[in-house]
Amino acid sequence: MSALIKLLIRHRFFFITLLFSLLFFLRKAIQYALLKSYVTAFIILSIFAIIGISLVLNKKVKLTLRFWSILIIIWASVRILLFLANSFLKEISESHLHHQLFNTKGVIISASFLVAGVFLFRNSNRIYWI
Amino acid sequence: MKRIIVIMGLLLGFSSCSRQEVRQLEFQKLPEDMAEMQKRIIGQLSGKYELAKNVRLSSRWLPEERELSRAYFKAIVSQLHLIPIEQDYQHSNINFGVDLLIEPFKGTNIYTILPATIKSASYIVLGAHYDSGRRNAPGAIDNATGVTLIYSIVKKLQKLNYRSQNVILVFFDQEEEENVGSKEFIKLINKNNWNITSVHCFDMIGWDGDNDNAIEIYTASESLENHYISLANSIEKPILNVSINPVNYANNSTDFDEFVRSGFNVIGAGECVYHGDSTPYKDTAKDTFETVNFEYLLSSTTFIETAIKNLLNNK
Repeated sequence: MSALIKLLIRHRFFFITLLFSLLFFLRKAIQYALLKSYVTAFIILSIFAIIGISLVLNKKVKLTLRFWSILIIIWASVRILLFLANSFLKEISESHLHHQLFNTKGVIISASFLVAGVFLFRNSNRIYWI
Repeated sequence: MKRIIVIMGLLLGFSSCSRQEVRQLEFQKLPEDMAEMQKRIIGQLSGKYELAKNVRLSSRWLPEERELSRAYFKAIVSQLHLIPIEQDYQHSNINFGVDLLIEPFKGTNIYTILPATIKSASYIVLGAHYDSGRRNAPGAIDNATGVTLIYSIVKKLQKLNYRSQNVILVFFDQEEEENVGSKEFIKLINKNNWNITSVHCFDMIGWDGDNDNAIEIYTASESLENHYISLANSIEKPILNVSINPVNYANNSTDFDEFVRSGFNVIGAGECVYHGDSTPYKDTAKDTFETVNFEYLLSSTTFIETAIKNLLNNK
């Protein structure tokens, strides 16, 4: 246990970033489950189950973390691509999309997750479960 | 890399905390004269006039603009001495892929209930959406006219000595985005177990290019169709009808469609969209106050007011 705590402390920034990214999507899963959009919640929770099993069994941890970081990078990239398409090709007419993806907060969220995803990917090989 | 993440996190924190509350606004009292009142409401909702002191809407598209519109609706409903009620909702996106990318729809319908003058568990719904379809589209005809029409009718109905049913006046949010507001209002109706005898939806009712003063109705309800047509015939009002087949109904362009799909006794009315006499400025910056035919709106208001009155007179 003390070894695990030492690991967490040594790589605290990595774990905080990982935890934050997981919590963000956990909130999304709960939010959509409450709205009875169960497919969305199921997809997120299935990915969480894969990550959880890997961490608990201490198997394929590096691969799992890379898998998660790649998913985050894809998620952020799609949002950024939509932002670019909206800015330079054709404006999307839906206020709902516009408000979430193309305002300052939406762009910061997308950029933050892109950076976080790259950070997690680059550092996933340094983290070993003990 | 760590520094970038910290900076991003801080920026996110600041942007999340920077949301401004709608400040306390003072709204003018509306004129008593119907024609003047209609001009005022449409003018204020479409940016011709100030909505409140130093506040002017350029559209009702952005969440902030819709929030201002709601504050206005609450104020004008209160002027009728009725209680405005907000129905806040969240609604999932069109598919789970979009759900994964973004947050759900968030919006607010505003409604009020004009009670029957006798004990009644039945309700008539009068509905119109208040959002506009594009950034900088003032939405004078689409759909400040519909909103104004139902408000005017309720003001008139309030003066009746006898109303056999309760009347719900509802301003739907986000019709321009998958009819989300009306979908959520249907959920509210079902949750409250309201006995809805008929629903009347109004979308765009301010254009009469051929000056025939015709109104268009669309419905799958034979009883409502007959009710409107017989009234129109009795006063020689031109009326154009579009019959709807509710079986496997797939249309998804206005709030009316959601009520059809949910099996309500519903009718939609407005300018002659399906018969080619409708504003050419829909969803553009030219959908302005100046393009509204106020005589046509007033005439249509009187017609629909009579139609609803007749329904309320049934003992």
